Amino acid sequence: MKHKKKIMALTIGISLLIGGCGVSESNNDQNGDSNSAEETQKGSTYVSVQDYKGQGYDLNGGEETDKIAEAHREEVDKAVEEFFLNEYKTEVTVHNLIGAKDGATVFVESKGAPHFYTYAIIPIKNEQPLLDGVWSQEGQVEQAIQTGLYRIVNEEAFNQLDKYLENLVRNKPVVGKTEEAIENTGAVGLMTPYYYADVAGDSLKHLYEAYMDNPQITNEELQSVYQPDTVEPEKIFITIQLFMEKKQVQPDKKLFEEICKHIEEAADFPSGSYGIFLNDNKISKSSGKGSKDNTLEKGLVDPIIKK
Amino acid sequence: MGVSTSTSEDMIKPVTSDRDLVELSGYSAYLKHELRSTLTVNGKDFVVKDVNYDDPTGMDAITVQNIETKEYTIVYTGTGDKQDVITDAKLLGDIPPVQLEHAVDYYNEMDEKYGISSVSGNSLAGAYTNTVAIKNPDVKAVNLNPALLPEGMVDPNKTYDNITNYFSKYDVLTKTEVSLNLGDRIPGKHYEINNGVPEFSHLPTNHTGYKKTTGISSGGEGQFYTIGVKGQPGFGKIYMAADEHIVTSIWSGMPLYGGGQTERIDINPENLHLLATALEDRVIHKVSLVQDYLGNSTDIVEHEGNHFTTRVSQLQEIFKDAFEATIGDPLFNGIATSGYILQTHIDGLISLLHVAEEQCRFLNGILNSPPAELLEHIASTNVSVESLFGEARSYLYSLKDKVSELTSATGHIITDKIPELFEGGKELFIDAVVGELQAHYQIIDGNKDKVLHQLTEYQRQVHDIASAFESEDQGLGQAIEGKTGGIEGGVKVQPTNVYTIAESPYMLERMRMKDIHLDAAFGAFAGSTHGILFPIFNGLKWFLTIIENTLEILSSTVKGATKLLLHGSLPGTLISIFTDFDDKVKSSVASTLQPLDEVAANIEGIRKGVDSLMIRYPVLLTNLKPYVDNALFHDSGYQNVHLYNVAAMSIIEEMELLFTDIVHQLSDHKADAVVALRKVSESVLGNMNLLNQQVNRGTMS
Repeated sequence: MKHKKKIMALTIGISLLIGGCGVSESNNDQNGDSNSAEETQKGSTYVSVQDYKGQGYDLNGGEETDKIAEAHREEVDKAVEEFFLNEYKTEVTVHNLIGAKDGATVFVESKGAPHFYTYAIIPIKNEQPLLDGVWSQEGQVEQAIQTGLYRIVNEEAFNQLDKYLENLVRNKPVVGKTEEAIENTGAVGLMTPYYYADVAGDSLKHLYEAYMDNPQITNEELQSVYQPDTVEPEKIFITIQLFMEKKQVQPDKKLFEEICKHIEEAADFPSGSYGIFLNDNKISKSSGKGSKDNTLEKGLVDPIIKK
Repeated sequence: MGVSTSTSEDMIKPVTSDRDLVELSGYSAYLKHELRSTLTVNGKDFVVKDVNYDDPTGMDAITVQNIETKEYTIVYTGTGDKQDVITDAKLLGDIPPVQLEHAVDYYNEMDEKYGISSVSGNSLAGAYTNTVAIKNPDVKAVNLNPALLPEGMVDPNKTYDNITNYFSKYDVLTKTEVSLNLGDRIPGKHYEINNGVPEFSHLPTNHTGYKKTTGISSGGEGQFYTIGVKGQPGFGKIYMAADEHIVTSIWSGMPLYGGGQTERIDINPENLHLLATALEDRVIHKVSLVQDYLGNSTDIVEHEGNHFTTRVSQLQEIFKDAFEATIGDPLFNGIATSGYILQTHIDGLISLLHVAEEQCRFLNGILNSPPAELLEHIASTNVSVESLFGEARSYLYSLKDKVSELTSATGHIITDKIPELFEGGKELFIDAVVGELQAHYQIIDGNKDKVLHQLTEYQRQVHDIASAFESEDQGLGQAIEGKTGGIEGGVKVQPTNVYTIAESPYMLERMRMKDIHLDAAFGAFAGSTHGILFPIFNGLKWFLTIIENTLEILSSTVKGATKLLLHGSLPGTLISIFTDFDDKVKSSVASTLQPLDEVAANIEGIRKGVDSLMIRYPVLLTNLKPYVDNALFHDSGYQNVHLYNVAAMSIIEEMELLFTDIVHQLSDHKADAVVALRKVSESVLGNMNLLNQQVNRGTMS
């Protein structure tokens, strides 16, 4: 994973740059923000995106189940890994358990290709995780697998998109989410620090079925069954999500427009419905969300559709 | 496992239905959704357009768009999940107005941006929804078990046609609200739906309408309660997802509540095909669930029937143990079966009496041979107790007889009276409760098969007629255009068979039958055993008292011997000086009294045992009653039969609702085929109705 190394280098670099400077302008975080100190601060809702690794993320009704799941971490991991192997013929790594009402949400990442992030739920009853009761929410894993497959059959186009975004963060004062934040709280499907992709509808169902028939299917074979004509770009949601690199600045309008324009004009990006969010530097700890009132947004109402 | 599970409803209408809204609000958040991520509900895809997760009051909500129809929906989730439902119930009207304000603000913001067509919420979030919908009559609001609005917010003179509230039949929050006459603080239509089961442990999930421990569609078999114990008869599932229990029109997707008739549809091939598909997906599938539920009930009943002997012998054992435990004296162990210990013990007492008698003779010997020094002062004397010893002995023998009588009476109770507790019912079954249920289920079993057959045939008929209409139409079209000479041979249509539901004379008291039987049988048992036991108890007591009295006289007479010496003409000191005569007498008296005292103490112990049995027999009976109840039919098994029947009835009722609409839609049509179909659907409806009544007899209420 060369990708990962880069991100880490970047994160460390930024931390060094920012360390010790400035006072937060956020009302919710008045005690300064010298990086890791924020984690321990009580009552601070927001944290700098560079520091966010998923800490504080919680779900409704999960106070109790959280501890129970964590106490049975090993068995839960094993049960969930088996669930994915049996139901979806896919090996996964468990990254995080978050307690929820009557159960825990288990965040996983697939090993190898197709690469995707998703989640399953393990029920908790009488203070015990029900190891044979793991389940997934309607359509969620299927859609996550489809995004992973979609990337494989559009390898070149996705590489272009990745390259553009990597260049962008290298040269402009914007950053993405940390790898850990994605692992620990991300579950949408195809995810990188800068964007995530999710699908709706049945237009990629044929890829999914081919993969389920033969999980060892090669990229070439997948390519040969792929029917690009059936793809409905407006149902493939590619969402770019960036944060301002510096803590005290507002999202940069000019830069945002530049990005939008580039995405709009790029001819070599994967087809899909693009949304773009440029947030300030803060991320909500409990929800893992960066969007706020000042977020610059494109795509909720009029997405960029690439055919 | 499919990518999506579509039902006939989805094929007809991709619009966000009440069912989708209820599922969205009752079952949304296992995750904090990302913007532009998708979620699937009932096979329909939604995309997240906005999230409100960091509201300071905890007023959580998301805005989603139905991808096919572009409709926007706000799903309020609130903090309801963080608290116990019971707390919610206590809160009743105390929703902080600031949360309601935030809900309205959020709606306004989203409505301005997207144009919201519907809002939805469960519990506390239902109050957010209703607040929004009161102020915005154009938005459709659908709630499941909503909380009350603060007083004064709902105008009692308005109907709020845009609001629909579904109340789960067994939800405590809404039941409380309605019973407190606070129902008018929930605006709009109130419809009761049949999800959930009447069991305390399921109270919270009856309220939320979903059980968060199991999945919907994907990766699981759906939402269900587990009934019974794994590996035991009647172990199974009752499906409970709230939206599954909202009955909607086959053609329009509109909910079929409130007695309102749905708008007339055209009877054309397309609509008939819809009916055929819906019959398959929504009716036959559901009626098979009814079959499962009733099958599980039958299994439970059968299992109880097979264990009749065990149940009887367990109850016998319990009665025996309780009887002996009530006496609380180890001497009475086994009294109910052989009385051997007590009998042997009384034999022991008889021999002790012999010992005392011997000692008494010895005492007489001493008394009759005073030393020479005292001869002139003491006349020969005698403690004459022979007849008393004889009496005591004979009473002890009678006591033994009484004990045997007690043993044989309890034996009689155990072998004859306990089994009688089970007898009764319509046909004097030896196992009344089970017998009645079994007889009833035998009839239901045939009837449910008939209903299913009839439905399957009906479905085929609809399908065939739809195809016939279609081909006839095409044929006519082609004939008119001159392409063919005329209509080619007709399409084969499934013929109509008559299915008559058999009557059941059983279970007329429903599941209360067990209580009624218990009370009657137990009353008889208490009466007859009292009549058997108390004369024996009294007899025992009489002999025990007499024995005690005799022993008393015996010992005082023996004690009299020393008094004779001490209070005689000669000063006792004199005797002591010259002889050891008085020591001899004293020690001999003591040796006589000692076994007598022992016998007396034992008799007193036995009397106390009998006393406590007499006093505590009513308590024994009271304590026994729950065991009898459980032996008549295992309590949890009985409860599960009730639950399965409730669940089966819920489905049948829903199907009746659906068929009422079908009959309505097929009425007033001139085509003979449609008239015939209407007749069959009326017959199906009638049969379902009868089956419903019969299944209802397997419930408590």
